[in-house]
Amino acid sequence: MGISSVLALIRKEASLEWRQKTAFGGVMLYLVSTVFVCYLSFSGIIPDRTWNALFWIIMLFASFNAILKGFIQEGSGRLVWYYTLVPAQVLLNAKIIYNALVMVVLSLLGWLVFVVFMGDPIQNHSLFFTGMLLGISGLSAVLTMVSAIAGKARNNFTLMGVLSFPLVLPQILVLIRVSGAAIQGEALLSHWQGLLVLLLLTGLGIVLANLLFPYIWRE
Amino acid sequence: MFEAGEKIFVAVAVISLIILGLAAFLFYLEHRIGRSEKKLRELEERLESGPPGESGIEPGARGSNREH
Amino acid sequence: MIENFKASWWKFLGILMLLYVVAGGLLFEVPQLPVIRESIRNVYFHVGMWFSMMFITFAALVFSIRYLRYQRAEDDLRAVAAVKTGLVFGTLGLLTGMVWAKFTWGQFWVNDPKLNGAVVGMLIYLAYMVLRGSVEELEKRARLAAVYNVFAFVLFFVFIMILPRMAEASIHPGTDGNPALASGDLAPMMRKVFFPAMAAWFILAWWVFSLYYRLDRLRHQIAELTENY
Repeated sequence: MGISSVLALIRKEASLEWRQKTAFGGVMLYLVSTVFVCYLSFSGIIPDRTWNALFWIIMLFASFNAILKGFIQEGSGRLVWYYTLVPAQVLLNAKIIYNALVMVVLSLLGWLVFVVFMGDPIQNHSLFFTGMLLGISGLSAVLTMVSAIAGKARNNFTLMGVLSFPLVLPQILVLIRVSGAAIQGEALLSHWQGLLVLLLLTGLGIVLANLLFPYIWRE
Repeated sequence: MFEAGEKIFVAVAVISLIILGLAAFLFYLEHRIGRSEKKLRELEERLESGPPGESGIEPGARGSNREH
Repeated sequence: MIENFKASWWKFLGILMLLYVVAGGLLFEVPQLPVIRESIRNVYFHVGMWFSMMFITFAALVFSIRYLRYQRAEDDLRAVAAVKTGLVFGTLGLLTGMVWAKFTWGQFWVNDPKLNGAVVGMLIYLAYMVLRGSVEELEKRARLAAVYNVFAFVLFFVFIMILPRMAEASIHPGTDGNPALASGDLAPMMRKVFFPAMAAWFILAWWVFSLYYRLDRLRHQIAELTENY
């Protein structure tokens, strides 16, 4: 019963997203204009290291924007209704998976925009995308959990940044290191330590979120 | 005033003084907190024993407390 | 007064030990190492401050877990008090570390996993305080803060365990995770000051924590009283 309700909730999130296309469009526009500003200020020539750092910082802030909707913009009435329908963990895991999917879509689009404006320095794409996938699932777990906390408090957006920044920093650092290796064209498994750490942080984030979410959820 | 080799004793003295000052400050704080705790306990006992009207807190004072 | 003294003998002990550490730390003989030279005496202060920060934030974690289990307001108050104490000692550790770095590495700040980890830790506890500031209802504030504390502490702990090992090189001693405790790190002649120093800083941290706790509890009780009457 668990998995089918998780899937149903993910489908519900997707159809809601589809109905309010402006929200996702807004995040996309944010992404494109930020990249364009960077393109103009670097006058098109950009060192590899800067490309790498810029990409992940811009992706991080775009993800904040996208994930913030998760719990905060959803009306409290509807949340109460879910509460009567499914156990807390089911809702949480559905949100984590859905947010990860959104971030994957966002990152792929972001990568395309980057390639268009600032070129593609990456030599080993399989390492880059493996790292991206693992990093994003971990980021999604942490950001979903933090948005659930921030959703219950005032000044949501500021709080979201303040609370999540120190928590996502480790993952961002490892992610930047792995994608830096991808840019240099190192082999997929030469950075297995970094990938392993990302996997570990993802698992840890999901386990902790599942343990702690019921305490936030209860009203 | 001091020889080069004796300067370190000045440093020791100064830092020791700072620590003693810190200790004095902490003991002072502890004293003040202890007194407030005692006052609060007495106030609570009085509030519990008598009806609110005789508790020693004037109705007006209650109103102003609430705004805090 | 006598009763008072009996209850707080450990505070006097802590202060006496601190005085001994200042005198012994500055005057006793230390091994002469290149670059560090006499500044090695900072071990008694800098390391002690960071150790007590870790000790007191671990206590905060325990109080937060206890709050989530039993929902007692006291545990939440204890957790905040411990976090505040941790921030005080963290700031002190940061300052002593920066002075030390200036004299041995030539800069107040160097890019090093240990130092970055310290900043992340401080940011987490500042964020914890910001979170508390932005929730009005007491019960909800306590619950959210406890959840964040547990979540953040575990992630942070894994972070500082893993990241220094992943980095190519660290300029800060103690890459194996326990600076100053590894057998090769601390010369035997320094032990007679080092261990009392750690004990003294722990006692001071616990004392500051207990004062913060009693002060917050007073505020809490006064707020309750004014609400009820």
